[in-house]
Amino acid sequence: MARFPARFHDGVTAAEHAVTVTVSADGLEIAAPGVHAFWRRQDIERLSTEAGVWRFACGDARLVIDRTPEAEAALKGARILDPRREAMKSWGLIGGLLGLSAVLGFIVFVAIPMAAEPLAHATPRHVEEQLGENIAKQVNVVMRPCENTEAADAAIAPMLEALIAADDPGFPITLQFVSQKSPNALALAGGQVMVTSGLLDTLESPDELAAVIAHELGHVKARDGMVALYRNAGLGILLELITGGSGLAQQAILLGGQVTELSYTRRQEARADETAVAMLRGAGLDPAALARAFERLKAFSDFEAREETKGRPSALEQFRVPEWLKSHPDLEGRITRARAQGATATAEALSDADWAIVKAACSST
Amino acid sequence: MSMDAAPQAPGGAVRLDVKNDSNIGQFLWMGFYTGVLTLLTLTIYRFWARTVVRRRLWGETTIGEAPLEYTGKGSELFFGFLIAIFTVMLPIVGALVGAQLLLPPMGVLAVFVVIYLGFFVLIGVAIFLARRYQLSRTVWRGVRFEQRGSALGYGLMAFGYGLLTVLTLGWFAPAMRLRLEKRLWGNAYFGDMPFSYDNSKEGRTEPVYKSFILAYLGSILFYAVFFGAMHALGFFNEMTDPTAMPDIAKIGMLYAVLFGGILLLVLFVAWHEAVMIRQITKSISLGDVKLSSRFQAWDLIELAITNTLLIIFTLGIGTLAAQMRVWRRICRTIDVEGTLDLAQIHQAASRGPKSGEGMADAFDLSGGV
Repeated sequence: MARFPARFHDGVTAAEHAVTVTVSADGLEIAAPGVHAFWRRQDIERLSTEAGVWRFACGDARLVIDRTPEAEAALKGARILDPRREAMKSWGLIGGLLGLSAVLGFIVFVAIPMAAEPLAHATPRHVEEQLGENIAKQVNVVMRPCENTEAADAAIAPMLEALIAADDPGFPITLQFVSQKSPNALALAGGQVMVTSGLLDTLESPDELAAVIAHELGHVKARDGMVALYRNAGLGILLELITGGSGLAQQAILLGGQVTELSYTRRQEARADETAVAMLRGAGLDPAALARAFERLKAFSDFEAREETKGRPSALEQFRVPEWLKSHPDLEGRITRARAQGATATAEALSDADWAIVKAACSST
Repeated sequence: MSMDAAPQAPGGAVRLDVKNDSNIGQFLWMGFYTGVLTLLTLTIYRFWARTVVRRRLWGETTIGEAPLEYTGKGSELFFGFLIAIFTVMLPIVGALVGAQLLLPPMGVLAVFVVIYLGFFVLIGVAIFLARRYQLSRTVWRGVRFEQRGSALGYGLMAFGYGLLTVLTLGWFAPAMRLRLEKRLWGNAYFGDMPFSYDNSKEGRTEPVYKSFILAYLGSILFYAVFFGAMHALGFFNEMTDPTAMPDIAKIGMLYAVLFGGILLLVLFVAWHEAVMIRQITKSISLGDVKLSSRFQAWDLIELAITNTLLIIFTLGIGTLAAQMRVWRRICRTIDVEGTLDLAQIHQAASRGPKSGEGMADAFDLSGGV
């Protein structure tokens, strides 16, 4: 049995004792005048790597052994020093954490998005309405409502009613004109629809506006705003884990998801288009107006992109493209499909006088 | 005495020189591999990363030639974080969401105000709890350190002093810092031996407030330069039109001003920071052992410049190394006078909390190490 000198802290006082250590298969025997301890092998933990010495712990007690070839051979022989076991422990930890993060990634990016639609449909409608109202207020901090829009609200009401009568979206609709330069329309949860001043400036006929609104009503009917809230909740949870969970990340993600529509899928967009076509047809309007509205917005974004890139970093290009189009993939296909639904209009979306009033909805601000 | 590395005075008393010999290369490497693992694990590894770093930093810091030892575990930090999320953060988020769903706008506002005031108390509580965890996981010569006292008491104290600092336009700040240090160190123990902290008028020999005047002027200058630059670059105009597009060149210039401003601020604040480090260090004693520090303003300026370069040129990987260099400098400028009879110091009564720092992590107060 190997013996060598060592330094010992008994974990009872801070004093240091010069001791003799005897290595056996069962562990370490530590002895000096007035000191005696036996450490069982399974209770011994090796502490941090350090030049010149090994440090071991057993409960509160500590042992410091100078590195010598004899001591190393004895400690390895008794498997008190076991580099392989230590390496396996740290690789096990890393593997475990990688596995855990894979599970987390699956939950956030696969499981929660899959559950989002059923959850949205199971949510009581009055809860979604209340939520939508609150979200609208928060969105209004950035996209301020246009002022004195009573005349425009009254002018657009018949068209809105005709669309709703054609295909009920299932929520009371609040249509709001908001002040923002880029042409955009959004459907928040619970029937809150917003139309930007930029959209009014860009569109050239009332049936185009009717088509865009009908598309948003399609999102309202499918409860896509609510679906987005649930879908983004997973991403929010992930951000909370990363940033530390003040709840702010969650809020930002939820709001961001509502405003940018980044989380709407192709399928949701196609379904909103279908609803829009049905609504327009039912209201006696030409469904091909949807195609014209898309083209108008596309031309706008192309133009803006060209303007922006003149002598500027091209990254800025991204900013000017309306969210409405960025999140609408497969635009050409959608234009083609909407045009194929073209029919002769039997009604007027808005009278010329009303269209002029609506066009000027945001001009007083 | 042949086995004892530490030079011992008669009766088992030991001289307690503080040393740190951490190595930049090691910390750069740690910064790299812990960074990679943190990214790969969706940041979950960060708790273990912090543990690995502390183990090394503590282990390479010796007092009287015996190293400090960090006994904390990554899993303790991870569970502490989860506990804080579920017991503190989720209820707060739940209250906020519930208020938005159920209450009128004024009610929501009231709930927000209450919660955010509570937040400020919780920040102090979190700092205290993190400190209690860290001391309970710090061992020297087989004996634990311990932080006693009430976390809520500390949180309320920090909140009250914070209010006072606001009311005095910042002039209470140095007094607040010293009083909070007294609250912490006055309740800290090594084993069963209490630290003491002298915040008496006689004990405050460093020019705390004289140096603060310069720091205060520097801060005013900093804000003036920063907001002046924002105004000159037209940022305030753009704020009134939220749809206006940010100009990358302007943002770049603002960052350049901010960066230059911070370097300038360091010059103004360095003296005061060095004074505070020296004042706090010399106020701490353990039995007959008295501490003092030779830390100078120049140390701070030099560290600020070299660490900034280190972080920039390593693309952030050197952040750990930079933090280590601050700690190393602090250790190397500490002088210790007097001796301790270590055989008379017994193990700390408490093992400390089972999990750690959850709230501090949740509030992101830990700042790396």
